[in-house]
Amino acid sequence: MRQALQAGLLAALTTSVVGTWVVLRGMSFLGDALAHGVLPGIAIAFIVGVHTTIGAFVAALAMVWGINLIRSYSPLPDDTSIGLLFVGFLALAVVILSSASGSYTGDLSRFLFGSITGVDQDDLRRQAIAAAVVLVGMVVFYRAFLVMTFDRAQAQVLGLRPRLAHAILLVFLVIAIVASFEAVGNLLVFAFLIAPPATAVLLVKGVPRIMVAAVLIGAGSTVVGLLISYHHNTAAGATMALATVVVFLAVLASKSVLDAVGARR
Amino acid sequence: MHIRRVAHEPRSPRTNRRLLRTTLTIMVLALVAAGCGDSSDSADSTPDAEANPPVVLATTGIWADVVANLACDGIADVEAIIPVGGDPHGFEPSLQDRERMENADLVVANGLQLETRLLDTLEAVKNSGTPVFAVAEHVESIPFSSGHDDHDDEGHEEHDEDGHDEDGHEDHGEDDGHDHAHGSDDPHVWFDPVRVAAVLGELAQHLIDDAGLDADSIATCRSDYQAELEALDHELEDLIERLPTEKRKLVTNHDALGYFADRYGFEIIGTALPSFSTLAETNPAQLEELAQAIEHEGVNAIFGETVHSSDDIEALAARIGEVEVVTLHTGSLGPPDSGAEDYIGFMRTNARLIVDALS
Repeated sequence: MRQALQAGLLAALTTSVVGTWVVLRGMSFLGDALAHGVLPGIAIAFIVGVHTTIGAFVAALAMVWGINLIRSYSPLPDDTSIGLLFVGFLALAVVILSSASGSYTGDLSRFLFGSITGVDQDDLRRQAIAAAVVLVGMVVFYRAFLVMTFDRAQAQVLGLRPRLAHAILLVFLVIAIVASFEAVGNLLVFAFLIAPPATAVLLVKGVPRIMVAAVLIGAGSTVVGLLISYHHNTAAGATMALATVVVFLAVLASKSVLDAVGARR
Repeated sequence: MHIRRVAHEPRSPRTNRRLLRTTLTIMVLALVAAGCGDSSDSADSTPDAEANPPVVLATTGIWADVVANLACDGIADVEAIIPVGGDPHGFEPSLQDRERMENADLVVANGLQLETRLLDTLEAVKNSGTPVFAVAEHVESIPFSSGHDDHDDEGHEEHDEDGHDEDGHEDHGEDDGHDHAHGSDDPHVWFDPVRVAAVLGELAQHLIDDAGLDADSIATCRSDYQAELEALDHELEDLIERLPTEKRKLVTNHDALGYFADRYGFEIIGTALPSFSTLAETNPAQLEELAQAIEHEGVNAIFGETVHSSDDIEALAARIGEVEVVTLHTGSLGPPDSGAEDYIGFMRTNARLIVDALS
């Protein structure tokens, strides 16, 4: 339970911080796609016997690269190129796993939903390193991300190279996803990526405050989700993910009520 | 990338602050509610140290029964992790299961990757210091498909070649819980009582060394159980004797009966799921071949299992016609009064079902 809690909190910290930029920049779909884009890498790594984190990382980078490639060579809008690779990568992962073994194909679900009961010290160490890298990155690149998000033209003028900043942000996004999927799973890590920052956006203004609030909300949801999961024997990853979304909906509802009351006064 | 408009509508900062505070308060309340929600289950998950007998957890009920027979007279508290009727291949542990395992004195697993979705958890439990003994990894195991080689009629050659033989990863995850590749040995060792009897010694040693059980008591229990298992083996031999050799042909849902076939001279014609695991899927070409093989061999019954949907095997029977589907206990003991509620009863019930169905 202690290790599960640590893993959940580290996942919430890492994803909420990166997720803030994902939400502010309106690239949620890319985040979701990347969360699944890691799967073929995991599948191959699993078969070859390399550490799955490495496979996941390579696959995610390949996906980002592929999306950029499609974007530059086709007239299609972004979401189409993302969607194409999203489904392509997901299908590829299933095909790889089914063709390779015939015996242990069902393992896919372990990656989709995570296995927080299987987290050990090594996983925690990896997660802690990822969290540290992401936090340092957020501080170092804060200005670049900020300008790129709110004023691309000015970023160009200031020589902040928005394309490069975008690429760097994607790398951090991949790190956050890869470091967290063990705990919550590929399918659900997306909840951690966007729900806490989305909730935070409802509550506070200013990027740093949104980040801090997102981390608090993400951590709170993790704890609530884990406790519910522990006491009622529900699936841990899904319960935590559900908690983040329920918190968002609850905040949205109470905000709307408060605003309506405030407006009438 | 386009810039998103975020929360621009004017709102008083006070409302916001109040809202934030409300949110945090709600979350704290939810925490408290979730935390003390049900004290009933949390009470029994914290065993007090000295007063209770050593706790030995086995993944499946089958091994729990074997362990309980080694630690007879209740000298250890033996429990199964996977509930009766649960499929060991697909069982997903909960956070409480993880905690129970960490608090146990010894965890007995089947191993050879039987418990696919417990692999990470078993690894983590082992790393946290709880001894884990994987029984099947200490018996003479059968590599995949060796049970199928002794018949080479046309038509189902394919079955032996669908990729199970590749075993380039002997080092499955000694100290890394993530790189488990496919096991190449059949994990269903409990289907052979002789192999189970042969591993009692090592299992008993672990109960003595890791769970601190009294060696003399264990020795007595062990010799009794050893005798019971030998009697079971003779009983099954006598039972199966009645079945003519040419009728000893098995078609099962997944490849679970390799050791049974090996011990009692059955031939495995094929399996609906081409795998050691119930987590696999069928494919149409392979099913077609299997249907042909069944007709060719003139088998009159094929076997489903209690722990997994029998849709595939029933579809297979329906397609052939005049083939009975009989449900066996495979990865789990049966419920009370099923006759298969302990290991010996499980083997006896299965053997009877098989012999009755095929004669």
